[in-house]
Order: sequence, then C-alpha cells, then structure tokens
Amino acid sequence: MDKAIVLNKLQNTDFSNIQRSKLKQVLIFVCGYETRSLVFYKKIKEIFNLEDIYCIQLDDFDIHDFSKNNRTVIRDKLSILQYSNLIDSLKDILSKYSKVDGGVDYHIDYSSMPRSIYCRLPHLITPHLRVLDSCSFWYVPGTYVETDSSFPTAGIEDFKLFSGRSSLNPELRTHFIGLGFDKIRSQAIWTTLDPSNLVSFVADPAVTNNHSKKSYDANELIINNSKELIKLPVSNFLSSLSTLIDWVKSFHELGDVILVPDGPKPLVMASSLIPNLVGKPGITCFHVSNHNSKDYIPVNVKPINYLAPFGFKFYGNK
Amino acid sequence: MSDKEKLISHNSKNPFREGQARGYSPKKTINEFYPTSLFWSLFNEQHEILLGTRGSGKTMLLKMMCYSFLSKLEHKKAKELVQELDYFCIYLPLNLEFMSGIEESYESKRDKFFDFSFNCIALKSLLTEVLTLINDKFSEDDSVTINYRVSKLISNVLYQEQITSIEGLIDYTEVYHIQNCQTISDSPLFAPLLTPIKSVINLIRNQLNIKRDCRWVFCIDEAEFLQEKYIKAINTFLRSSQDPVVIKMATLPYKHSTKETLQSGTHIEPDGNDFNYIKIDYDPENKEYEQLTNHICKTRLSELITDGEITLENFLDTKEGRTQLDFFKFELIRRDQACDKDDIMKLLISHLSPERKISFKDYKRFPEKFEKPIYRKFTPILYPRVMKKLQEPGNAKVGFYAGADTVRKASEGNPRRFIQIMNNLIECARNKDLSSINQHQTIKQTCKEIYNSSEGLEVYGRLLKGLLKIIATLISDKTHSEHITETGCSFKLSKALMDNNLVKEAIKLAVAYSYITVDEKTLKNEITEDSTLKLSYLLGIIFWIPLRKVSPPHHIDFLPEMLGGLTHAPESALTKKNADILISMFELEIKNG
Repeated sequence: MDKAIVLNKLQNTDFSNIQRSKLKQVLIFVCGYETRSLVFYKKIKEIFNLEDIYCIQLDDFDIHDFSKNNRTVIRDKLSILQYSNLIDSLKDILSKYSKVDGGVDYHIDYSSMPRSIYCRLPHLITPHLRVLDSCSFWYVPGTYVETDSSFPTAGIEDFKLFSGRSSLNPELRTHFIGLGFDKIRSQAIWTTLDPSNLVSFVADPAVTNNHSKKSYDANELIINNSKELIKLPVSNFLSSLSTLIDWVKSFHELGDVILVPDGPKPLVMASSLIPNLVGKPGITCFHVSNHNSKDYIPVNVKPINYLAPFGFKFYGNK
Repeated sequence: MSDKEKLISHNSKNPFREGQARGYSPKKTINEFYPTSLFWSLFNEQHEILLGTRGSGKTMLLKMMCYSFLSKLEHKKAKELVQELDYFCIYLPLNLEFMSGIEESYESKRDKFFDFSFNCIALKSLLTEVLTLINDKFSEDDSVTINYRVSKLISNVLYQEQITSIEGLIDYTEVYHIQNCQTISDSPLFAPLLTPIKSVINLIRNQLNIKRDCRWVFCIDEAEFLQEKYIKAINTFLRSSQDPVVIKMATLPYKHSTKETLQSGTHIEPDGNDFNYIKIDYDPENKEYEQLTNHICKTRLSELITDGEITLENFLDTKEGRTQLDFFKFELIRRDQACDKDDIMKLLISHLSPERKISFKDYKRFPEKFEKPIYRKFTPILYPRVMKKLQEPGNAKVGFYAGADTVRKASEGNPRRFIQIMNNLIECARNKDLSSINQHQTIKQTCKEIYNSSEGLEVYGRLLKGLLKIIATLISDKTHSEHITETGCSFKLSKALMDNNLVKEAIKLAVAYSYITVDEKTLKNEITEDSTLKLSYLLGIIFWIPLRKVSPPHHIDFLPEMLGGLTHAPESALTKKNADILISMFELEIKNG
C-alpha cells in the first residue's frame, strides 16, 4: 500500500459526545466471534434511526462457537457484506453514497475487524469523502483474556509488509515494535527481526491500568533492550499518532524506520497509516499475522461495559 | 582506588549494552573487529555460503571484507589486500522489509522483481564502495574527473540518462527502484541476477585501471529472509561460472533450504564444485575465540580501565582464583574440607561404584597409573556433583561457575552471547563486586534468561524449550546419580524421535540460535539419528552438567512402553496447548551407560 493519504481535520471522537445529526448516517461493522462486535451497533442504534447498516461477515464466522450468540443480529434489517469480495462491495457502497445530497457520516466500528481490513479502510474511504462527509472509526474497549490455546507464535512468513517502501541498503535501521500482551509472540517478533536499533511503544495509559501492567509484564526483556520506550495514550488517537510520527521522523533522519505494531488496534491503525501519512521512502509498516494454524482458536473479547467507545474522525476535502 | 573499583562506581553507559553489529557505526565495527584465520580465508575465488548462528558475527565478517572497512583496518594483511586489490568486496543485506517489498508485486512477476530489486541494491552498494575507492586512490582533481566519467557511463548504459556524479547516481537508483518496482520495463536492471552489474563492473574496471583478475565479491547478508524461490535464483547464479563476480552469502544454519536451481532437475553441488559451506561459529575453547573475546573486552573496557593489560582473565580475576579447580577448592576450604590432590582423589573414589572402587586398591602405590584414566576423566564430573550438593537450600551460596573459561563456554563461541553475559557482569560489578559467588550468580541467571527466551523463538520455540528441559534433566540426573559415571553435554536422539518432523524442526531452530551445537558435517547436511548433538554449555550451567563433550554421546530414546507414543501427537505445535501436549508425550530415557 504505497499511496499517500491525507486525513482532513483529523480529531478524536468519544461516544459520550455523539450528537444527533440530519446528515445520512452509515454504519459499517463486523459481526464476528467477539461479544464486543455488537456493542457499538446496539449503542448507535439507540441514537440514530439507522437504515444504512453494512455488516461484514468473516469467512470463519460459522466455525467459532462464540459466533452463535451473535448470529441473531443477522436477522436484523441490515446488508451483509461477504469477506471474499469485500473491497469491491465497499467501493460500490462509497460510490453510491458519494451521490447523496447533503453530507454523509460514516461510522466504522473496527474493534472486531481483522487488521488486514480495518487498516485499509482509511485509504479506501478518503478518495470518496466530500467536504461535508465525515468518517469516524470507533473502538470498543475489550477485556483482556488469556486462554490455553492462545500464544500463536510468529515466523518469517507471518510478516507482511502493509505500507511503505524500504530504502536500498540504508545506513541504519530502527525497528519500532508495538507491544501487546503476548510475551511469546512479542519475543518471536523480536528474535525474528533481530533489530539492531530498537524502539518500543506501548499503550499507556491503556484502556485500564491492568492492560498497561500486562503489557509491561509481558515485555520486560524487550523494553530493557530498547533505546526508547514511547508511551501512547490509547484513547487519544490524535496524540498517539502525532507522538509516533514525531519519533519516526527523528529516527528517519538516521536511516530506515520499520514499524511493527502488535498492540491494541488504535495503535496498529496509527502505525499502519504513518508510512503513507509521512510519505517518504524508508518508512515501512509490517503486520504480523496469526500463524496459519488450524489449531488456533480465536479469543472472545468481551466489552468493558463502563467504558464508552472512542475513536477518531476526519472529513473529506473533495 | 583500583580500575575495577572505578568501573563499579562509574556512572556512564555500560560498554557491553550493545551487541548487534548491524547497528554499529563504521568506526565501532572497525575498532571491535578481530580478524581471525577464518576472516582471511574468505578472500578467495570460491562462491561460499557462510553458516552461522544468530550473533555469531556474520555481519561483522562480511562488512569488514568491504573496501571501505578493510582499508581502515590496522593490519598488515589488510593493507596488502587493499594494495593488491585482488578482491573488491561489496556488502549487500537482504533484510525482511526489502524482501517483503518484492512480495507486494504480482505473484507471477515476482521473480523478475527479485532480479530487479537485487540488481538495484547491488548497484547502490557497489557505487558506494567505488566512491570510497576513488576518493582514496586518486588526487582530489583526478577523483572529480573519474567520478564524473564513471557516473556518466553507467547512467547512460543503465538509465539512458546523463548523471554527472556517483552520489547523484546513487540517489537516482534509490528513486528509480521505488518508481519501477511495480511495473516491469525493458530497463537493463530487470535482466537476470547481477548481469547488468557485470557490465557496470567492466566500465568501472576500465576507468579506474583495476586489474582484470580482480574478483568482485558480493557479500550477501541476512539470506535467512530469502524464500525458496529466490534461493533457487541465487543457486542458479552459483551454478554457472560468473567470472569476475564471486558470492559470499551468510545465513542461519538450515536456512539454505534448497540446492535446486531455476532449471528443473539441476542442483548445485557443495565441496568446491559450485560452492562451499563455511562454518562461522567458534569453538568456545578455541584459541582464536579467546583472542577475539579478549579483544572485545579490551576495546569496550579501555575507556574505563587504564592500568594493566585488559583481558577477560584479568577482568574476572578473583581472590578465589581463576579456574574451575580453583573455585572448587575454595568452596571446600570455606567449608573446612581438605583439598589437596590426594584429598580430591579420595573424594572422587568415594563417588565411584563399588566395582570401580576395587580397582583402586593400588592407587596409593601407583598414583600416576590413575592420573589420566581416573583423575582427569572424572574430576570434571566430580566438581558439579559436589557443588550442586553444597548449594542446596539451607547451605551457603557457592561460587563455582565463574572466571573467563566459564564465560567463554557459556557464550558457546557466540560473540553476541558473550557480550550479553558481560553486560550483566558489568552491572554486577557496579552493584556488588566480581567475587566468584557473584560471578556464579550472574552467569547462572543470564544463562536462565537466555534459556527462558528460547520459548519465544519462531514457531517451534515452546516445543524447543520443553525438549531442552527434558534432555538436560535426563543428563543432569545421570550426572548426579548415586555413583559417578561418564557424562557430559553430548547426545544423540533416536530414530523414533528424529522421525517426528516437529522435533526435527525444533532441533534445527536450537542449532540456529545456539541452544544445541552440531558437528560440521551435520551443520552442512541434515540432522539425523546419527548426528552427535551437544547441549549448549549454558544448559550445562543451569542443570549442573559437566561442561564437556562425552564420547560416546548419551543416546536418548523413548521409554520402552512409550515406543510409538507419538502416533497420536498433534501435527502442529504452534499453540501453547499443542506444544504442551507434545512435550508431555516425551517420556524419554538415556539408553547407553
């Protein structure tokens, strides 16, 4: 993904401040195996009389037991988007709404989406946004869960270049590793990359104190081997993004920067956008996929009910 | 105040904090480099694949071969090589983000884009080295002229452009690569691997009057990130004569995963036919490794210690002594036990089986008769047997795993691991002192940290950690059984174990990351049930196993009732649960002895 991107009038959003609007409201979300995947859908329906709802159904929807509880939602009046031709379907939808009079507010709940989808959406949406259109990306904070079948580790083949281009034989390479909760996985990423110049970033404050503590506990070794540890407030997307960009730019003066986020989704999103927001060669972002194992059982992330969804919003400039 | 005390109170950065050569400045790379016989032997006309564990010094070797580094090395041989210019070496790293960029292109065209990207990076690296050569060899005026002529000729051939400086040509190549890495064009840089570079070499050679028999050596680093299809492309290059270009390619053990070429049914042959495999890792007891580690110590500690010769031995010198025998004796003395040679022999005899004790009745009359077969053979096993007992809960701490030899063995001949241990020893020196007890605690703790991190190795890490623990525990139990017996870190795994693909992959991973070492033949071929493996000495330290090889090695197999026990094993050990199920199935024993 090499195209430069501009997020016009980028700002933070908080669901507790959401207001009724006369503009057309469009919701795109995933109904998956996570309990939290329905939270935003239910909440926003309480505020708006939503008619334009698009639910992405993942290929493995039927495989997981958790999905059964979410199945009832499919009976609602909403449009189902199949994963297999998702990008084309979304392009059609965006093209359709770009002809609607007045403006359109797109709401995207990316809390339960795979990163291969949600990180591509800003690139997909921005060309279609007109001056009055806005797009909000919402994140529902989830509980931390550990199961016996978790800890999928990572190998070389699990590293996928998501955005940016590397330089040819740079003098120095600095890896920015985003730390998650999974010690084994973080270590696998670390040992595979074998970084010579390492910067870590972590969600702090995270959605709860417990989340931060888990990240620090799981990554003590990596943190001790880092030149810098950057603390990013996960609920403040604008601050996290701009802080990270400042750091990336300062290290980019010395050579290439390689971002490898594996922490909470807002930080994965921010990292994935940076190569195209900065728009200079020598800044890349990797996604580390879950190892392709039939034994891997996804984790049912439940919402933290006392925390409101939060996110970021930008406008069109067409 | 002694220099060591100064170091303890020193507030500046720990000089052993950094251990990754790729991040070193050129100055630091040159200062820290210790040229061994292996390094000089790499200047030859043979394509070679360098097999080295993570941290074994592959990057350092390849970088130092390059003109820009070699020309600054204060060494007679280096000066000769630079003067003669029989070899002109170019460093060429194939890192993950570079290789992943190729995967972004259409699958059917990736081979072409690999050729293109490889040629671009080779061109940039070549031009960077040539620029240094021009600036070194020619006067200021001449270098400007030559720079201009070389750049104009190359840019005309490759880009049909008139670029007037090599610096500009380097920048142009960078931009050209980004702009053209999605669409195939008729650019010469899309020609097969290094073909356009050979034309460039011809131009450079003529302009700089470099002799015709100079070999242009492309030093490819991080080849472990190459997918099999790209390894085949490089193999194809190695298969045919490529005068004047020579390849030296560094990778992790078992990551040169195929000998196939792009021509179906054609393979490359090692042992000098098409290429040679070269083992990079040092034996920790090798004299050159001793010199190398002393050199690292001297380089890193020289700013902090100014009096006397800086060697690892001097730095870790204690009032208790320097060798394992010294530390062993000291621990006995501390506990009011006699420790003359005769006393140790008596102690040793008390550990022997009743059958062996009978043969000792002549010991007092002919002690020399027992020197080699008994004393030298069994004392290395006696030490950990006694020390382990002494440190059991409730007793005073022991200071046994200390001193330079132990540090070198714990590092398993791996410079980066050596630096990691030294980093912790410096921290220890700052907070406490480097007594044998504190060294023992620090070294053992570092070994545990390294062992625990095996769990995080890619894909098979958790399985590997479980397997290492089982094997080390079996050998440790044998070491500390009722009567002393021949034991050490060497072992073989039975066919039933090696037939399991997950076990085999876990062992390969262990070799790549220095948790297990293998002999040179096994390193260059496959690991089988006939391979003699050796637990890394760091596991010997954790599990109180003698830090020595043993012949014949321990033969490890399933318990008789467990034969065929892996029939229902998980096929994948990628999750915690599956790895643990598999580990629980390893009910093993040592068959021999």
